[in-house]
Amino acid sequence: MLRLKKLQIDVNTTNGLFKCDVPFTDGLNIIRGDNTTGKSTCLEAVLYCLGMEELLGGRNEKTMQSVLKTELQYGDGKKYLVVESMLTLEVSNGAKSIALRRAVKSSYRDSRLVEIIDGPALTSPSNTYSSQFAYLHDPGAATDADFGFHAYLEEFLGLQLPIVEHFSGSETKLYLQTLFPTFFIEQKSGWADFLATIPRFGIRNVKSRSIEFILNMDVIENCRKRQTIAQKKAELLGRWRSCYDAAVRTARSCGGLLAGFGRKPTTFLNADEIYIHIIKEEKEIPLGDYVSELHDELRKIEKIPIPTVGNSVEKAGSELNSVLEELNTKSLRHDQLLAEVGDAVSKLANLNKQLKDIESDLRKNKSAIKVQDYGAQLKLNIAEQACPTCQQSIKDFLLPQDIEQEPLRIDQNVSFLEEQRKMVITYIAGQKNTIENKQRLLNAIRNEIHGIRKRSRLLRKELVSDERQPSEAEIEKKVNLRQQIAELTHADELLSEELIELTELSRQWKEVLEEEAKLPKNYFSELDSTKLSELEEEFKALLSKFGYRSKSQDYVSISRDTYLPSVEPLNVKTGTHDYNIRFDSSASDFIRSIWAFTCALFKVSKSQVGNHPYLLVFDEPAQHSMANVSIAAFLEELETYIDAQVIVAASFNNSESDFKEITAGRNFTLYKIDKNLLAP
Amino acid sequence: MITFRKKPIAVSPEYRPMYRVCQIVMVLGMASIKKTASLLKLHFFSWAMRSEKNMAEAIKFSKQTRSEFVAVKIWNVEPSLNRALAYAIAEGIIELNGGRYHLASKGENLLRVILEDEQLLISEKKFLNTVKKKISEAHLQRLSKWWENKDA
Repeated sequence: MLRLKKLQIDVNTTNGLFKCDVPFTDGLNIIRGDNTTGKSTCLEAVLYCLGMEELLGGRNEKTMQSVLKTELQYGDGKKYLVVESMLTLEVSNGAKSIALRRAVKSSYRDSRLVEIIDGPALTSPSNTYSSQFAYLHDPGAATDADFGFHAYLEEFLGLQLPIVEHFSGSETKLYLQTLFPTFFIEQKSGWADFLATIPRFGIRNVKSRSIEFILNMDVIENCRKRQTIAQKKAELLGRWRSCYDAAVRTARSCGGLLAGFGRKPTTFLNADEIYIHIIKEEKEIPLGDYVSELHDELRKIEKIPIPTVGNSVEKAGSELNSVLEELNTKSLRHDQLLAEVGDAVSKLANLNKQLKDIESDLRKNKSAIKVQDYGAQLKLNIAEQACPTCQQSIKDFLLPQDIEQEPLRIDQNVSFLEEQRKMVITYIAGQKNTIENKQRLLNAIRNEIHGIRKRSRLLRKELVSDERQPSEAEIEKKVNLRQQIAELTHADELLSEELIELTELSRQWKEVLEEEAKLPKNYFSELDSTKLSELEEEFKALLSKFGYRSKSQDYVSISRDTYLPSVEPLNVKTGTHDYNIRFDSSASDFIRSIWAFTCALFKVSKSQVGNHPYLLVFDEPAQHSMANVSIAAFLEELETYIDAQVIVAASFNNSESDFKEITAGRNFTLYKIDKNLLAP
Repeated sequence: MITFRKKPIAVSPEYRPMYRVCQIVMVLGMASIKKTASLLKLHFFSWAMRSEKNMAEAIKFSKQTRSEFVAVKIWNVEPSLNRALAYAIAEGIIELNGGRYHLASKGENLLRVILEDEQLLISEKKFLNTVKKKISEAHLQRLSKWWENKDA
């Protein structure tokens, strides 16, 4: 938890020291002061001491009011120059108190430094407390456990911030600053939207992440688990692929093909079914069978002594004839295959281009659906296919309206394109497969042609060589066979080595898949769903308590997507898209819904043991001439949060009677600023 | 007897009124000085945002300096943009002042909503953030003059 104890502001001016002390108690605190007396200065100072000034839209001293850095007005409009200013805030985490001191304007202290005093230096001053400095807004401020202030504060508050996804695709810690807008509503822009002042830090869906953490939802943990599993899978996939590629290279090195497993990891890896195919005569033969065939042939040749050229010349002559014939047919087939491959490749290129076009069209169409929704929220006629001038229905296209064609609705258009995309993807896969097969055949034929040519050259040579010489063709045949057998056996050995690693990878793959199966099927765990419906119930109950009237409660809900209040559209056409309650509420009702949402978050976090710091701060909740009864109802609600600390700064329309009317019967601690927050 | 029924046709998002109006709003809000632009400029950007290729050409065009002139392959002028402009004016999203189109406050609201949604119109936003306001009316005048003279 985070509890404020006391704030001290010291401003040294050309006319001496001005200061103020603002004590805070548990339960409801009201800071009352007329306009421009310094209520916001006071609450902004709290943020500044906690290093949270990014909620005010900047960093360091430039976020602070001029009274703390340039010029101080006092009494009858006299102005004094600020020489030095220092803010000190004492906070407690329930067990321990510390004081945080930070300079706004100082000649000797950098505004990025926060002095952490290890003890209640404001409520019971003593000079025995040790102190240390920590820094802000530098790389490492959030993670450096020794000198980073936010890392210190995170530990002090007993929080453990989760790792979340960054827009760049990398990961980052959820910053502490992103939590504050869930309980600290600052005046300048805090009332513009839910969590309006949240700094983004490039975190994807930062508001949702922050709410998830405040409610301590399982989604965070599950997301993290999902990510580690995805990482492990990616790593295994990479190793599997390199293994597969190595095996493919092995197969190719001996002119064969790999069978029995693919580039995708599988848990059913049967080592017996993995072997190399050799293509012969456009047919596939398992390597083992082929090797034994070669062995047989070799044995047959070895039985017969090598004949001389004279003995084999006739045989050579007829063999040359048949070899030449074979060469002819093979060359024809080769050319035919080559043309087919070329054809298939250009078809593939065409399909790829088509796919790219469809995908870009899809992206645009999806944007078109969204802008249609946004248009409807802004109540634009054209978004509802009505003429903005005469309200008659128009066709949803920009072609001349008198064309007698009905356009597809955008969502139909999208599903039409999705179908096309699926189809083209299937075609592409098929086409790739065809190319691969043809290429394979082509390579085999090339090798065969190469062999035949070599053989024919040898036979020709033999026909003209000395008759008494031993037949070179026969010797060559023998040597060739031996060499081929050696090569193939070597490849087989390599493959079995690769199989050992693949079996191990397959086992690990199975483990990962099992882990993945253990993750909850639904995005939300049961507890998460309970938390969200409780949030919705609380939110609705508080809305009616605070007098919200813009929209019937039946349409109000908490979006399961953003966790923010949303209104379901009456418009059936746009389907399930809900939108921000802001669009459909009056200005004061939107403020009521911010009150209700901030309170509901606290209540649910409390009942479901979330990470809420039990602190709620509202700077001027009475925006947009809010009705007094509504503020009274709001304070009545806040009063019941006795185990939390609630701080409300308000002017009560600068009127004593309004103040009395609104706070009648309430139990609270009042800090009244009479004229100026700072006094000599 | 055979009866024929007309089937609805697929329409490119560029021909959807809302989509086009959003493009106009983005061009006025992100790429135009004082949120005001001429018809010529709107047509140029409408052509540019048609495809990645056009965007690349437009970016090259935006990077030209005073001394070197980059000619863009002539862009086309389409009636559909004029219809979208008519709708946008009727909706009060933009205003026509002295022959120039200006983003009205309703249009600024729309622009804010578009910019808030990070998943929306990603490549268009990237393009407009790259050229920013570098493609000025003067640039375009110069380009259209160049084409006129070329024809003559």
